[in-house]
Amino acid sequence: MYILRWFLILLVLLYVLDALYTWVYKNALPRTKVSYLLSIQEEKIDYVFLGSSRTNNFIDSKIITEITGKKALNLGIQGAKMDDYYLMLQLLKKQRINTDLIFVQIDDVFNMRGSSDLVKSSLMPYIQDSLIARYVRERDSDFWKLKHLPFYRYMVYDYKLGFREFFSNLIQKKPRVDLSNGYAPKYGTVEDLKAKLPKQIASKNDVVKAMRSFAKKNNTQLIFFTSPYCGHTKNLFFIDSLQEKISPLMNYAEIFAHDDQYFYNCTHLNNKGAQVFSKRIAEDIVSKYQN
Amino acid sequence: MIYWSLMQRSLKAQNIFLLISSYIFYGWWDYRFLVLILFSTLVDYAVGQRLKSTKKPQFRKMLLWVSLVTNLVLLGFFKYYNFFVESWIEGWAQWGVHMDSTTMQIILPVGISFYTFQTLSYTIDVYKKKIEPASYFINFAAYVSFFPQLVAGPIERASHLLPQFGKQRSFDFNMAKSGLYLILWGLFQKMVIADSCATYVKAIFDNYAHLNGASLLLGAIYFAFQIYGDFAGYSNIAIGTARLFGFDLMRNFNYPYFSRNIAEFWRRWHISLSTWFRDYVYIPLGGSRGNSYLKIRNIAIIFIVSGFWHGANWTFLFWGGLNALYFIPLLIGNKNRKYLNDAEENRSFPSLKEFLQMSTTFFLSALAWIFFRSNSIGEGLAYVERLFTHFELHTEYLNVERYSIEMMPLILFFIIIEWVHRRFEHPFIGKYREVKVMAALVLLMLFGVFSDHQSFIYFQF
Repeated sequence: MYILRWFLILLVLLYVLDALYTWVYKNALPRTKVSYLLSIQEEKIDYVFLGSSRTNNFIDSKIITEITGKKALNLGIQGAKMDDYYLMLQLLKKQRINTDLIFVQIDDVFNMRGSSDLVKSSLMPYIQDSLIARYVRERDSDFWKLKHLPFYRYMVYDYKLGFREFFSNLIQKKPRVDLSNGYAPKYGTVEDLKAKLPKQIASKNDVVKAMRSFAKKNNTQLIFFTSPYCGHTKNLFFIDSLQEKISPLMNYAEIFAHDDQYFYNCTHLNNKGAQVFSKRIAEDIVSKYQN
Repeated sequence: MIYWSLMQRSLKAQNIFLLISSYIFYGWWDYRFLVLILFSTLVDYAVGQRLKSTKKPQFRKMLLWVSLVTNLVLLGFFKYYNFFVESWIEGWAQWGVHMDSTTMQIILPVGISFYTFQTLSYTIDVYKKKIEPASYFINFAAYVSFFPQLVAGPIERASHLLPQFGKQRSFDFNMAKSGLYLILWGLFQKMVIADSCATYVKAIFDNYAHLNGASLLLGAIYFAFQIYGDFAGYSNIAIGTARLFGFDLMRNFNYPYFSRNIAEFWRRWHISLSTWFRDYVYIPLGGSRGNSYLKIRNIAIIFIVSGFWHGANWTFLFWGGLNALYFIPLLIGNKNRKYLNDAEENRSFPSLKEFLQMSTTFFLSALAWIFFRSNSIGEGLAYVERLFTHFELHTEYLNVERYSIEMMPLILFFIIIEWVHRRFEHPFIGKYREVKVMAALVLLMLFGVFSDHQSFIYFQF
């Protein structure tokens, strides 16, 4: 009886905490790009950028808007992979966000499958949503526990959804990044600029295919682009192979090959580089898609 | 449940069950090393039996040596072989003699330092006729491999634990309940305090060269609490688990950070190891008898051996040596046995003097822990140097997206809880016991680290 009593108490505590956390995460000021996207509906955002940190740290939406005169949003998420881009694309549709063009960053992520922990963690408060539930079910063997065991999802992802983040949400603390822009700058340059791309490219990427078909079905235009790498990157010929598979591709891989000052590290621009790059891509958008 | 429901009446069945469970537990990590623990058990059991049947002093001494050499050779080989070979090669390299640096990739068997010391205590006590040798092999094997404390202690004495395998055990609700309380408290110490500190400690120690003195000081404080929460937490879980099976294990920690000098600290920290060294090394060396030189020598030996016991690295030796340096002035001034009671037994708050004594002792131990945590003595020295030369009183944003100061409120809360309950083995006492248990469960869920949990530090020893 003693054990049973404590077991029931524990269960009740878990349900209460789960309900409390979920309510706070869903109702607080958005602090992640996923929660921001799920907080807006039926908006017109002309240009949306999907990608990983190589979008997150590269595209200043404010510059894009200033040059193109159109509203832009950076939805790049650190560590995100193609599966995550596809989910964001589906969420854009689900939230009835009206877009003109969706720019999808592509590079060595073409060779990768799976999803990032960061994206998955930000999905947890919304796991009861059918689209998100399907996404997690297909990618996480723990799905049943995440969905049905009370508070389990918040314990497993405590690093991102633990008490610290819960408290920040509770007090409506603003995120470090302005989510209506989505750009997260990096500053300075590390000493040793080095990076390596794969030698071989995967024969195909099913997610790219699925994204294209989803976009076609929903009358959305996808534009693939490759962000800059520093000139010390090995196997840059990978991008040539990529260009053969993804066409058309806005290829910016080597535009700053001789400008180390623009890089935080070999695969990420610093703020200075991001400003120049944002200007460049905005001008290309004007010349290619606005005339 | 199986243990208490099916084997309630048969002591032999209970012991066989515990032995099999312990071997499965150990084999789960690496079944190959079961041979090692079985070999140690067989040797020491056989030595114990022969010691019982013979009275010839020379033969008895030889038997003792057989046990000592067997156990220490195994320990030395698995734990220290690579260290000695590498140190030897590095030593010659300083003189320009270069040798092939390939060493065998020897895996350190988990818990070898703990169970080796446990079996050694048995042989030595039997040799000294302090205890009777084990009558049944099953009991002895279960004693050596008893799973709750097999991999990280407490290092039990045969005189305390072995007889418990020979006594009828029946389910005691209060004992089981106190065991559950200890497990809960241990989980709190480990998952809330130690593992939370670990995030900050890693961020600070890995980037110490770029941080200011305040952050480095916080890093040292966090590591002091990380290692305490980690090891005391494990000990409490082990003691609590043992109680669920009807066993009483010795206390391993007694609120060490409330010590008023280093001598008191060592009476309260890792008690099972400190008393082991005291009884089997320090006292045989002469203890505190003899002239000052002998006393200092004995203390230095104890601390350096204790450091070396922790691991095959010069940093542990340095840590042991530093503690010896802290201890020796107390020994010379005859103050090492000064504080045998609890700090401020009858008052809620310590006096200013006691507070300063406790703070100084904590600071000294935290300073020594820096070397324990560092990868090399040079790195530890650089850390300490930067701590003092780059001291700026402001918090810094670490690469784990947290400010260095952020962990302090939880640490202060933990200190208050420990201080208030310092006369008890865990905080779940008094009329609000159930509220405290509930609060601990909530805190565990809210602040516990579940995603990035760390292995127990002492598993590596």
